[in-house]
Amino acid sequence: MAHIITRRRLLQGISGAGAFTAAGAFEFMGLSNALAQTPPVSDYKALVCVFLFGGNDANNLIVPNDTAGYNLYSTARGGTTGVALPQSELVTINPSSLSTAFGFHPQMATLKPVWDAGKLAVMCNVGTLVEPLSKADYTNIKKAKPEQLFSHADQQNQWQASISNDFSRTGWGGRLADVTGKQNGAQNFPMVTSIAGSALFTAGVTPRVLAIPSTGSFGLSGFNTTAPSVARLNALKALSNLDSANDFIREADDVIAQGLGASDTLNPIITSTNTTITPLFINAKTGIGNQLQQVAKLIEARNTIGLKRQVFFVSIGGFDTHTNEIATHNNLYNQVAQAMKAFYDATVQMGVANQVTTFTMTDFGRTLKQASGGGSDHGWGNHQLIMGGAVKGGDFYGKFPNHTLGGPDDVSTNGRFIPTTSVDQYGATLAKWFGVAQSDLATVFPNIGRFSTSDLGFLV
Amino acid sequence: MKLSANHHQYQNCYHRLQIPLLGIFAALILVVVSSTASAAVVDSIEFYNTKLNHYFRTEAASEADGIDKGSAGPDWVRTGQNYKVWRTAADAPPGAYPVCRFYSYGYNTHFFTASPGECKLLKDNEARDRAAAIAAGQTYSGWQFEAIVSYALFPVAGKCAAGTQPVYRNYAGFTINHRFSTALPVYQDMNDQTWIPEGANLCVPGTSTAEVSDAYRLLQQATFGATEAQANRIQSIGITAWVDEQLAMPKSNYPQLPYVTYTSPTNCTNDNTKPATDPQNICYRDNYTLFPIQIAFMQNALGGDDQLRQRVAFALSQIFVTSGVEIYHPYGMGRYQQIILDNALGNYKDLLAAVTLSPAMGRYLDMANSKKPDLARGISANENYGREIMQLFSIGLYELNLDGTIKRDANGGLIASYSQTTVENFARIFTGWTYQPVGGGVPTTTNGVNYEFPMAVVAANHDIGAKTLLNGVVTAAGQTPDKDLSDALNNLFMHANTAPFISKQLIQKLVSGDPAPAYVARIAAVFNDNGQGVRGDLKAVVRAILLDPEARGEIKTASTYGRLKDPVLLATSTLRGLGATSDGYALLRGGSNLGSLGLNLFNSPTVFNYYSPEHQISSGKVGPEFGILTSTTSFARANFFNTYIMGNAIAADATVQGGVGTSINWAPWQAMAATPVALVDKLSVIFAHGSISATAQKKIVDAVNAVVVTDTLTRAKTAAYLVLSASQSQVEH
Repeated sequence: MAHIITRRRLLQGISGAGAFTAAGAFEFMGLSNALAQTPPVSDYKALVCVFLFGGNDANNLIVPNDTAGYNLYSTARGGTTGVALPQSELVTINPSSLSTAFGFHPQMATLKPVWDAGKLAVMCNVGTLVEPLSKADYTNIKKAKPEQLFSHADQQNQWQASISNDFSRTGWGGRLADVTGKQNGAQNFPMVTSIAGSALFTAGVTPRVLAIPSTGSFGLSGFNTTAPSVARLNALKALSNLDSANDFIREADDVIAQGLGASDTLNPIITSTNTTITPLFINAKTGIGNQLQQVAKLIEARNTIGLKRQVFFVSIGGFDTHTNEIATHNNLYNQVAQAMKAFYDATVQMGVANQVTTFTMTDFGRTLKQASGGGSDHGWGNHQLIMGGAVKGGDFYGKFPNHTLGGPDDVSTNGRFIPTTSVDQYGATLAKWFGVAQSDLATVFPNIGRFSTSDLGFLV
Repeated sequence: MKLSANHHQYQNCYHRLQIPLLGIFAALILVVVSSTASAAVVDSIEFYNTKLNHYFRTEAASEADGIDKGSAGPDWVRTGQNYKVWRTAADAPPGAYPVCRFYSYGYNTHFFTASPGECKLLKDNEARDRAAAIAAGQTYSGWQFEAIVSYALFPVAGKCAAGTQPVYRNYAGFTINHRFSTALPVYQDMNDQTWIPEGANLCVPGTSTAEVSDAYRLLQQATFGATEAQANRIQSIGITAWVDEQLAMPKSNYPQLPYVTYTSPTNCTNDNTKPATDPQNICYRDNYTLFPIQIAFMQNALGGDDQLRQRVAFALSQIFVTSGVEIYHPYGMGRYQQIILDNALGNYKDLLAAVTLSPAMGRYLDMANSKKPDLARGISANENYGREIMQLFSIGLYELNLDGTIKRDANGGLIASYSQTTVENFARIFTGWTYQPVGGGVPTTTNGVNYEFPMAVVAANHDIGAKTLLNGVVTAAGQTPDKDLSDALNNLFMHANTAPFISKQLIQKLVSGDPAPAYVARIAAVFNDNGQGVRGDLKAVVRAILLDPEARGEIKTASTYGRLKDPVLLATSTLRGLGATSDGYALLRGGSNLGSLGLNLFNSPTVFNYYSPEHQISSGKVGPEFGILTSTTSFARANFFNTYIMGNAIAADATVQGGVGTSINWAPWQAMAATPVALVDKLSVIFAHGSISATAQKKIVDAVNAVVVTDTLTRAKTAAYLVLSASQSQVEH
């Protein structure tokens, strides 16, 4: 389906008004410069964002497993009658660059083989930052700090926007597509796909995210080939193409028009039962499992869709564990681990494991100290997982925080850790692997220049 | 865009016409008409020239005949958009003004005005400039007076007098032409084609559609869907009286279900070996899912008389969010939603207090059983409610102006309205509260979940230290838990942010997603003082929102005006407008249910509601409900219409006591099926207050005509499917 078009024709297309309407506000010079540098690519790559809504308490996902480390952790969490995991239940891991042992949450046993294969890494204490910040800096009013720390909606947005010092209408997944869209050549199928509804992460300057369901069909029901039915369908399509003076009406028209444009291609793919992917998800028949299975199906059909670079967004909620954290985590981590394992196995089976990188994000970390009711409150820095054949796994990246309450990494007395790595750096590392040119990096991550490195090294 | 008879507007328009036209197309040569007509009212006949993209009207049948025969060139065709006018002063009521018609050779276009000042000005200019042109040996090409072609009234206070209707005017600078029409779909069409909407400037004899349109707009804002009966009621008693009637309406209720144990007993399942209506068949559904509350909501929304109260309660339930994700016992959610319904038109402070002590909220945001900090065990007071009551239920994150816009500091930075320290102080002030014991009474220790009664306090669990609240308020150490609670709520109630924060969201959920700051400021002022010195009077706030000039009027032409119908409104307005009978079951549990549209009733994914009040659409304007509109849910919306409109009636589910299923009585619509234009127009009035553009209506009519004329049912369904699917119906505007 994809066809390579010549650079000359592309430039001609760009200079013509017709081709440019879809590009909207994209700055002409920026786009044409990028075009001059980057031809369409021939290999395939996908980034898959797994968002854990509510603020995952990764204090219990990644636990120190040496005696001193575990004791510090356990004391802060009120012991195993509080929210500490029993040390005996931890799944021991030995990060290759560290001398101390750590433990995964017991439900992560499912993903242990991927860790052991060196395809799963942990990014330690990463979070929203405007610039590098020490504990002393935290109380210095001259140092810029993220707006509205500890607020769900704001911190979700800042993780998804990678902009923490103001509002943003776009997310870094969308902006990533803005600057790499040309690598897909003339293919105008939507590059960003969400299987979890709309999310700021997916909003770019130019592309509109395509949102598809996690199960079922993607299209209109109730039409056939009789003349009245055809006339009704044509009228429906025509209505969505009318001019409108009203922004909201135009938006509603554009949304359904985009769906109508994609459903003929996508519907057969996502409703297909003739796929070798499905059996791999036998233990992942959950919301997150269905979403990742859908991503796998789209990747399997990549030649039909014709895109060479794709960004996916999936999510699972329920991580706001103010109370009842132990039982909630057992349920949620089981779902996440099963779904990610099935998805990884699917990429291996399809022979694209090295071309698909999956990573987690979440609102924020949580207090190491337990909150009244067997849970934890809103925190800041947090640990994330990165999975894929291109990941230099079996290791930790960044700096694991000092667990002392009120200690050098805690901005409070409750264990709210100052991130030692920024979302910008985390995203930029993924973006570089995906194919974002160094010169475009600041377009996607406007504050990246404030941090020492834009490549944390967890990808080949 | 305000509609007014402001003469200044004519002046503006006239000045715009001074823009030189670079090319002159085929000249329109017309017979200048004289006042010889005999009828009291005559047709103003509209023509359109496809080559010029010009519209023209004549009130003289002889001139119209001539144009038909090509006297003005070959490209003029009748549009059918005629209206009546008074031909002479004697025909017209007292106070009517002559309509002067001018022609410009230079612009090759006509202009009509009833403004005496403008008419005189153009005539004076002609006299002056014609003489100058002749003296210079040139041809005069400016405006030349042709005749007084009719008589018209001006609107007074934006309205045309009884027995007259407004003439709307659009102007296109790109072709230098005006179009005049009494039809809202035509006015809408021209707006959509970027002809500048200039409002209604003339009143001519006829029946106005303006009041009908505004009545239907009000019903979109204030009810769960317009019906012809309610529109008639509004026209009969007037907008204000109707709003007051609604505000005084006796309220609907939710069933008050009895306490059940938190965990379902083993004998309470959905045992489908039992008969459908046997309590054992539906025990779990009716005691451990929100189904009984959801279906009560649907039935009240579809059929209750207190539409406005329910609509406001639904809006408030999306601000003061609890969710079945966690609060899934219907006896709990029912009591919670009853609190919202009871207080929806009461005082905001009472609502805030009742919500705060409701066990459903207590459980949802963890105020229940949050105890004073326990240093020995290393446990902090739970911060969840302390944070969210500020962020979501009262003041919001940033300091606001009265008009709802965000204040900026001297460096342009945002000003946080509270800090983490404030959260911790509010967390401490909310400690000590727990559920009442089963059966009710004073708790002596923390109790397990009991949604039957408001939370009560165990004083020993309350943090009695001093707390620093907002605006420098410090509560003294040693206060009672009740006094602390009262101080905390009062602190939020009196905060300057609360009025704009709550008022703006109510506007967004009733009228428009991106309201003008001045509108927010007017409503926030009512929130702060209802006129009798009372702060927080929600009835006054709702009344002001609906009666505000920004809300009223038959048509809104601002590009930023409107809101996408949320899935509940999409569903209920469809069924109410088409005259359906429904027990609500299918909307919850059938195919194409609300969940498939992206809004599982009372099951918001988080306390942040289904969508953010700040969600922006691609133009940058705020459209909260678009937060759940994706290609997937836009298909689901169309497929909802397929299920309920194209599909057959849905039979009652056997488990619903007295269930009637969901069915539409198509007979009245089938009766119109032979006249698709009238059918589509009527549906457009009911579902989009008549604002579906003429172009869109034409496409729908064509599709209806593709159905054989004898198949009246499919014709009626086709019309309804397409009218409702049109974004012009899906967006209230």
